[in-house]
Amino acid sequence: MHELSKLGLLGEQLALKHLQSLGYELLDRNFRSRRGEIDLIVTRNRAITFVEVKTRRGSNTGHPFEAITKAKMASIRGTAVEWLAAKQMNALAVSFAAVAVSLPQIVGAKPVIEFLENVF
Amino acid sequence: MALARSHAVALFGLDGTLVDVEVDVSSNLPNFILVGLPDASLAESVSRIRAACANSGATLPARRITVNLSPASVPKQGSGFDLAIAAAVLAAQDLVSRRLLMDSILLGELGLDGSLRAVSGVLAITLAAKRLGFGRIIVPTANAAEAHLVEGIEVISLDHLRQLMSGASGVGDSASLAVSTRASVAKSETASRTQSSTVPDLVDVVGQPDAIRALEVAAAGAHHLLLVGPPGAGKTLLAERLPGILPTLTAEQAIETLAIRSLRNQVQVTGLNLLPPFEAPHHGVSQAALIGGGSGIPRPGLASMAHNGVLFLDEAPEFSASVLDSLRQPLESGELVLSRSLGTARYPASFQLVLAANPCACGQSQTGGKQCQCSHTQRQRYLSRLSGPLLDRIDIRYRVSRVKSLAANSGGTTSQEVRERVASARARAADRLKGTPWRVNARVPGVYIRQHLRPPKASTRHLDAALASGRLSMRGYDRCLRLAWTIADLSALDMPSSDEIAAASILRSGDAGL
Repeated sequence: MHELSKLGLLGEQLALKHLQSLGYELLDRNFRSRRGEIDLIVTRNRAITFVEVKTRRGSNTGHPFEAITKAKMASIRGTAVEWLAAKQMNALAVSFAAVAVSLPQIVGAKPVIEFLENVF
Repeated sequence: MALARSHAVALFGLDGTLVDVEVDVSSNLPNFILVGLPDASLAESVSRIRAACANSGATLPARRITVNLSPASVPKQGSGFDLAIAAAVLAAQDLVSRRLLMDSILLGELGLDGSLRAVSGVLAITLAAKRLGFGRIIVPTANAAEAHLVEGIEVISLDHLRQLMSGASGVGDSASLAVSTRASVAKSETASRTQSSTVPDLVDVVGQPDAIRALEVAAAGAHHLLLVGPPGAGKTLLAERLPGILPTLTAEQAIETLAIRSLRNQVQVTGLNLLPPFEAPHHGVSQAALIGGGSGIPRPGLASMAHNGVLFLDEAPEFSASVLDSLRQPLESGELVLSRSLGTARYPASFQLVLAANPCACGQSQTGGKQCQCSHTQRQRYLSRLSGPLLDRIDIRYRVSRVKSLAANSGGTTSQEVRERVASARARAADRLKGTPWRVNARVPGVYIRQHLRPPKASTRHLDAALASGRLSMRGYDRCLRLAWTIADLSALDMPSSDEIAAASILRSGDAGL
């Protein structure tokens, strides 16, 4: 597997673990449609949350959140609509969230996970 | 979430409005949003602030930062808001003391490295800050001298954004920041006082005793002046020496003038210049450049730059008619009211107007020597380019003739001597006009002169006759009385006699052709 996507996968694992510790349950992951991809789809209290995970090693390329562009948000919204239609889900509420996973360059140090709810 | 606030001043003309800079840092995807009617250069400040903060060791949080400039209805212009916005953003992260920002006005443009750069209009903003009840203003070091001209407000000058942050941790806030003192400014103030020696002196004028006398009368009564004469007669030479014989400005006047001049980005203020300003625009000048204008918020023009000083229009008939006539409003009211898309600005423009003109297009008419090439019609047309209403406001019309001999030296009158005579004449006039809104003879309305300052009938006999026969208008009559009073003031007389009135009527209509 490619080095970069390995990093992404690792980040998603860490993000999922973090979300589960907050009481979220996983519904689906890496859902692809014509319009894009959603990393994690989770639920809590009958509300569905679509999660975009961004992972970075080091800080040279800026904060992970800075990589989430307007275009990316739009594609996630579109994909979310398709996912809801495909699964025929009836949600009380739908929201979008972002998780930033900053992996330290030093081996052994703990990764920093930031979670933003209701971001767009 | 994290909220912080700082204060800035938005200038509209010389009037400053308090602008609250509110910053909210909320948990959302990174974005920097600036709201509240910013103009293009202000919207660019986002990029400058981001870089300046990062290079000062305080990277902006990867969250949504919303900056609101309130009241949103007040138009805001320029880069001077950078510091106030950056400080509020840093205060929202507790990197700058909120208490320091509470009672300070902040002003300054940021460089990408976090250094602070000078902005224009500092004096007007400092005056506004004081009027708004703020006890402290934080400015770039390059503007410190200008801010210090205002007394009763603490000035903190910064070179770099980092200095603001270092003051945050301490309890004393501003105590850890360098509060610059007025001492350095006071030094440069005396420097500019002696600077008046660099203004050309009347001593250089050769063989024009009558012209110098006309200039002296103009200075003493603040009368507007028209000099007509052939090329090389010394019109420009004389006009340039007028600021040197005018009384030096009071501190209040100097600050008023400087506040306007500093709005234009071209003056480096080191101290208070007490010398009356002198502006001599080229005759190709546009109306907007002369009286002020521009899109959005109108900027001051040269007429306002010459406030409390001299506006000299050389080759006056060559100016476009509309440009010349646009001076009628400031000549009448002493201020310019400019209305543009974003609103109306007022700029004071109380200047002494000096016009210089050749007698005709070739300039040789009535010189006695060379023959004039112009036809009668051409000659008539040339000076009639100066409109009647404009000339109506000019008290002295003096014909400057060519100097015929170098031996005819004026006797070396220095500007210093004349300035002293002018000052005592002005003091006499001010004393007489005590209790009225006017301080100089030229500003006194005709009605007041005729009712309260009328010389005895015997001395005005010739004037009355001219008025009765229609050779003199009522306005011309008043003008003669005003000039006569100035001449009397110069001679330390309590009442102009027929001699002063005769001298006045000569000065008033030096050119019968006008």
